[in-house]
Amino acid sequence: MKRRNFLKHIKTSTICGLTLPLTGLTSSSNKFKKITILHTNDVHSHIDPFPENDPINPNSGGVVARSNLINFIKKGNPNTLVLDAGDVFQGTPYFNFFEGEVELKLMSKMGYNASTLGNHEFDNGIEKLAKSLKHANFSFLNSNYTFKNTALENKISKYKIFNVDGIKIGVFGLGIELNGLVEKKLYTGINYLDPVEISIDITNELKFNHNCDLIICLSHLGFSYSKDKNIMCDLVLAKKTRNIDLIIGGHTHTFLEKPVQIKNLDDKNVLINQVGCFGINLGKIDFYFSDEKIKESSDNIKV
Amino acid sequence: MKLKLIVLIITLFTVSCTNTDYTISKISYEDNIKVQDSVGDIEIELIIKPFRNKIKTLEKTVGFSEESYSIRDGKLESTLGNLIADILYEESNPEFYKMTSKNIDFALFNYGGVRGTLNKGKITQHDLFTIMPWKNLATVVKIKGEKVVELVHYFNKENLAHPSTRLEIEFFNEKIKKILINKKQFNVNKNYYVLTSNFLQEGGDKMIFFKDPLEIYNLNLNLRDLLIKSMRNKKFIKSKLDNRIFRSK
Repeated sequence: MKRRNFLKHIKTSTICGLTLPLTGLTSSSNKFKKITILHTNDVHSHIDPFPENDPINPNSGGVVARSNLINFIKKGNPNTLVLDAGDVFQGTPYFNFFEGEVELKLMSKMGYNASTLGNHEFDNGIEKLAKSLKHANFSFLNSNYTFKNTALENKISKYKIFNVDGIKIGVFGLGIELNGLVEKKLYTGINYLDPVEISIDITNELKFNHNCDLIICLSHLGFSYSKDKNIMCDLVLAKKTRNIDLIIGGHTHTFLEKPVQIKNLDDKNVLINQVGCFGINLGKIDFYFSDEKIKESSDNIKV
Repeated sequence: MKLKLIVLIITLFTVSCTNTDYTISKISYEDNIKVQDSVGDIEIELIIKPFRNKIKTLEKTVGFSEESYSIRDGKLESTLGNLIADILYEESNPEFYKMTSKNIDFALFNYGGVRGTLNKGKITQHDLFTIMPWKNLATVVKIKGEKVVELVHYFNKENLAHPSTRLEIEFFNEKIKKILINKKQFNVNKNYYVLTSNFLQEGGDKMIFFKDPLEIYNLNLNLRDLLIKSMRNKKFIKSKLDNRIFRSK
């Protein structure tokens, strides 16, 4: 029932999409621009859907269904980014036998624009991870690991800026502390840096040097941890940083019904969303932009 | 030359023109979308097919499960966790005995190391790859009694159904009321042989009590392979909750 409503919604936006090129000709009269963000996290090599005898998620997920959904939404709004928050790897024999090739080829085909490194991306070690990246035509982003003198050096970008219909979207990635989650020998040479400090630096750069209109963080830190509220997580990150509009989270396999809103350091809203795991759900958030100049840029500077 | 310059100027002009600042005027979202029920996508299917064919051999049945078992169906224990810990102990102990002429006292693995559910009916190798995808190997550590106390505190604090066997704990009001190891009263002055994985032995999942043991024995057996071997032999698999680790009221 819900899905039918959703399809209905998509159909109306498809009709809107058809009129867009016409209004586009009279550029400045085009009042709103709509950017759609689609996202997944912790898909864990779940290529095929769950079997029909699965007690919890029968027939759910699967790359075919996801691909169809993404294509359908993109037809309605070509100004769409497809993002992932890590742990692409590990969970089905597809990873044990083909070491990431299947997952990355399929994500490339589905039109993913970026992902970030989850802890399970390291399950075969740094060298094999670096090798598998040749199957991806999209970037893996991470800004709080150091890769110097490892096989991943120069293969992972801190951030990427996407220009979608004139809207500049800055996307950066954050990874979880690997110590205790991954065998030492599998990530030797990588150091973990504080996500809050890094985020403040990166978002300053994205917002003020590159004039990004939208800043998205792909985070594999986890949504929150009940045993200790102070453990680094998306809720903590959102509160202690500024300039992030959306955190796409992962790691904790948290099935949020819809995005949650948190106030950041500047008392501005940050959205956090996470869609559980195994490709069962897909997140979709639409941002509408108006082309008025930001008048009080001084407003953004706080010391 | 001149033409090139003009083109450059025009390009620069248009670039600077498009450099407008946009502000978010509205954000809209609905519930996260369920991904299911879809007709085929030929291009995607073509990519998957050769890989799927290569792993078809894993679809062979290794056994039958009486019910569906999950890692999430209890509090400090689970049906799937109990089943896995019991099997891994049964399969590893003879190997350890061959090596040392000693028996393993108890076993502890981690909740996060067990994924998915074991569905009722036929069990395939594919299912077991999904439940335990890791390369982890059976490892035995000899630790002091005081480390076992740390382990019990860890259980209490984590409050998760970490798979264990031959370890019985009763908590009352967050305090330890009873510890039995292999049905015998726990003795803090004794050393214990504990079966775990090489990942946890190295301090994985913050199990630091395994990190610097008195002795380490790597049995060189993949945990998933042990599950497959045991299920092939047993054919019919069943499990239950038995209050091995619980909080009393």
